[in-house]
Order: sequence, then structure tokens, then C-alpha cells
Amino acid sequence: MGRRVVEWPVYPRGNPGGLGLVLALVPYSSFVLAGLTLLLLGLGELAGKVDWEAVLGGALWFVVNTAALPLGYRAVSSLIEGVVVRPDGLEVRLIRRRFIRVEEISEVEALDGEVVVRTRDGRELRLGVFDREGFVETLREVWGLES
Amino acid sequence: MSVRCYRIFGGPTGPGWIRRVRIAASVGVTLFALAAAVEVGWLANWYLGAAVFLLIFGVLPALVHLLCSHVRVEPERVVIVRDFGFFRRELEIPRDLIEGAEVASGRVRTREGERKVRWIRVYLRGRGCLPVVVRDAEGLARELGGPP
Repeated sequence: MGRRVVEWPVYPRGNPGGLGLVLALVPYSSFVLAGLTLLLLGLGELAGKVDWEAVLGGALWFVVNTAALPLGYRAVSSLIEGVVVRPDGLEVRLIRRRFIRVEEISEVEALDGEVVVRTRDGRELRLGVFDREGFVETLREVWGLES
Repeated sequence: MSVRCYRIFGGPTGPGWIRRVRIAASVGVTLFALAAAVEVGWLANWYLGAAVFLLIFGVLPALVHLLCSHVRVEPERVVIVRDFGFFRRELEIPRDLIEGAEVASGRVRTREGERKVRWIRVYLRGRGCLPVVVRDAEGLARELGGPP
């Protein structure tokens, strides 16, 4: 699915090892659904009857589910490369990209297990980034913050 | 300078080993799934055979990810490769951007509770750091030049 060149630090949202395993199992959901449909059909044939409406329903279900796979893949992979620290702000990815400019940010606080970014208009963004200390250190270096 | 691969879920190897394992896993799982499907299809019926094929073949991305995802250290770049069999995701860090790397550790929350995790912080010139998780964290940190 392509190669990206790092220009600015990229942080995963959560443990990248666990997220990778979830991403690896995303296509399996489609296989399991199709497999279960065929399993039911197979058992139906063993019982002596095949429901052709079920065959059509199963095929349709598989197509819909397979078509939804890219969205599932995108959602999980956006967690692996979830937050990019850029000199002009934070790029947060969760399926779609969202950009928060440095001027909009009033406070960044590292809590237990997450980093809270507060904006000047009162909004609060909770980022469960991996390596919180490194993330805060990166914000200091890239944005030139004192503390 | 040779290319070295630090696997995310295993020890360091060369790129040839990863390529061979990837091919072996893909062929092995596909053949096993086919054999099981033919056996079940023959004994029961072909719907059940196809179901068995799909259920076995579906584990391929997870297996390839566990065996072949790695961080490849090349003279010009460091590439974080996440291989899922059907698709691949690569993050390339140009070598001239890397200032050094050090091992860090901490606790992350999982469903089973807190777990200790070790990773390395790759320091980018004037751009902070970037976390990378590999099994042999010390080896990779050393190869990337140690702490800046």
C-alpha cells in the first residue's frame, strides 16, 4: 500500500505491535464471514436441502463486507501513523486528516496514558500516543517551547 | 555496508531470510488450505471445503506480519516495513535525517493489564524523535549510532 517518507516525527496512537496485529486481522473478517456463510450452506446440503436465497444473500454479504475492507484497513492504519508533529501544528489522522495549527493550541498536558491538547476555543483533544515522554520532548524541540 | 533487518517480532536477520520465509509462509498456508479444502470437500461437500479454505487462508496476513515485519537498515535510509501479505506499508526515514537512537522502556495498557514494552527513540535532526518497536532494540539503536 505504498511507501511514505518521514519528514516530521510520526507517532502511533497506542502500541504499534498490537495495532499491527489488528491490521493483519482486518482482511480475516471478510474471510470468516464468507467462510461462515459457506459453512451454513454446506451443513444445509448435508441435511438434504440447499437454500439458493441464502447463497445469494451470502454472496451479497461477502461483496459488501469486502468492499468495506479498505475503510477498515484505513481506519486501523491511520492509528499506526496517527499523529505527525509538524512545525506549524499537529496533523491527527483518524480515517480523515485533521490539522490543528500551533496558534490554535493553548496547552499540552501529558497525563497518565494520554496527552491532552487544549485549543484556544475551549476544545480538548485526547491523544493516546505511544511514547508520551518522547512526544512531549518532540513538541518542545519542533515548536521551540520552553516547558 | 550490508543491509540488516531488525524484525518487529523476532531477532535480526538479512533481507534474504525474510524473502524466503515470506514465500514459504505464503505457499505453505495456501497449499495447506487447499489440501484441507479438497479433503473436506471430498468427504462432506464443496461448500464446507470452500469454507475451510477461506478460514485457513485468512490467517496468512497475520502470519506474514508476525514473521516478516521488520526495520530495514540500508546505507541511504531506514525503512520500517509492515508486511501483511496482501498489502504492505512502508515508512522511510532518510539516513541524513537520523541523528542517533536510544533505547527507551515503559508500560503500556493492554486488555490483560499493563505490560512492559521496550522501543527505541530515533532522533531526527532538529525534529525531535520517533518511536520504533523492534525485538532487538539495543542492536538497532547501536546500528543507528547510539544516543545523540
